[in-house]
Amino acid sequence: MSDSSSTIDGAGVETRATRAERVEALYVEHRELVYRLALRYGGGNPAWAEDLTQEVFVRLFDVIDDLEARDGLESWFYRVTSNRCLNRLRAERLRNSGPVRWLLGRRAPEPRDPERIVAAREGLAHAWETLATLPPKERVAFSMHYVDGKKQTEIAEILGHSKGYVSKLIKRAEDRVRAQGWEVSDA
Amino acid sequence: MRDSDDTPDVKSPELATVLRELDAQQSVQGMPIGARNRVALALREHGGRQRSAWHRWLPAASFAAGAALVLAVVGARWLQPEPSALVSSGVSVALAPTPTVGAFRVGGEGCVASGNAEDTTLAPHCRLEAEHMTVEVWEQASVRAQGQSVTVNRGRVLFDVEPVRDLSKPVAVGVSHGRIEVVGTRFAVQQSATGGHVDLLEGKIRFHQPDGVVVDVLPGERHAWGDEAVAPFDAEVEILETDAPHVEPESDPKSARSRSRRRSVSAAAAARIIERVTELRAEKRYGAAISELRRALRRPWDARTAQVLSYELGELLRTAEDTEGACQHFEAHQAAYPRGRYRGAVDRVMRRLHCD
Repeated sequence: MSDSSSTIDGAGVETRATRAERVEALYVEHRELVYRLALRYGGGNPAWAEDLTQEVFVRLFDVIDDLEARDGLESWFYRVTSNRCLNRLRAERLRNSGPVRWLLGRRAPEPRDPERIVAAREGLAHAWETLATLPPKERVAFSMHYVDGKKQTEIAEILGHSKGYVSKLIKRAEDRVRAQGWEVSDA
Repeated sequence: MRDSDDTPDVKSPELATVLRELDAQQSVQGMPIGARNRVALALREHGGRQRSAWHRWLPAASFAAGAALVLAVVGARWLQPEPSALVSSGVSVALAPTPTVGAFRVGGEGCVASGNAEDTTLAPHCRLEAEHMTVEVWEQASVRAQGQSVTVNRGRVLFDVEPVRDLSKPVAVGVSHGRIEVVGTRFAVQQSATGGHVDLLEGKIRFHQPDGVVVDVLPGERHAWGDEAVAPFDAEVEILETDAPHVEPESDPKSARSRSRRRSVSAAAAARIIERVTELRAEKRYGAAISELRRALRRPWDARTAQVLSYELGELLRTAEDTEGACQHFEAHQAAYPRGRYRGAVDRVMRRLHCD
């Protein structure tokens, strides 16, 4: 695997960009998308979103040579970020489960960031709080479908599940959201 | 389910609307500048570590190398002849990394072992380990291990024997002029071609002479045999020499008991120190071991224990290749204990080191 790529610029001079430089360029271009998705799935937690953003771009170092068309990069970032978020949420959910907490000697889940609590009281951020109450898969599937306008077939492809299962996830999420007093209605 | 076809089916539930508004707000605000810079910095650092393709494959290569090593060790172990084959071969062989001699595993950091089971030569820091006993080599030693027993042919070794539950079956250690019977203890054996001695650190041992005489050895005591027994260490003389101002006549049983108890306590404390020093020595932390012994020697000890610790300090200085320090120390040792138990050994070491 090469460490650098060669391109010919307008003047016909060969320039070599290291992998780090290419990742940095893509970071500048796509960081907002990644951070925004991470912030949403992380319930508005900026530290969580920052960590995840870093994770995604570190991952990019390993695959950048295989990512050919820049046109497909946005969907790559969307897919990788969503899946990374999902994995992280599932891991956190496991860590915060009663038996694991008992095994690890943790008495209670970590307290929420006070800034987030204040933001939630102020209005819009309450939506993040609601989203954060959904199980990880439902949270991601619901958001992809309702917020990002993804088709169920696309969601199924991104998450690696069947369309039927995605449909169930969305349905369950709708029920939970409605139970919390939110409207989930057709446009 | 409402959305099961292939057309984008974007609905506008209230929650989704709010979430989209939050997304829009976030798009305007952008990633906080601090977070942006921190991630950029982390990526640059990561990129620096990723400069060469070789580094990228390092974890995989390390894993492969580790796996290959494990396979090689397992393969070598698989192909290694049984210990009995080692005994019967009678041919000098270099022992494999985890060889066995009799019922003992040969180990120890930087251990070099050679020979056969009849006469295994072990370098300093080697260990023979079995469930019932650990033998630590202090000076190059030649031993014979048969089944659960060990015979010291030559060298200086420390035995650490697990307590024996069945007292009718004590562990036996062979030496040139007899057999040491052990029921759980720590003791050091020094054996030369013509004689040797055992120093008991804790517990109790019995020395069985070939003529049937059995000698009980108590903590802090030494029992010598062969040419070392010709000019035996006279315990009473030494005690009188060093403790004379404080010692009541031996005929006073209370005083004798008190001194014996004091000696036992002293020996137990010394054993702990020697254990610690042995650990440090095994880790080749000679400086720490020397400091430990120097600290210990500042404390008041009975004459026997003081000699043991002092001799150990000299040996450590020698092992640490501080020849000048070792010479000075041994000189002071001889001056303090002119008729001491290590007199002969110290003389020999000083000659070897050309202390004159």
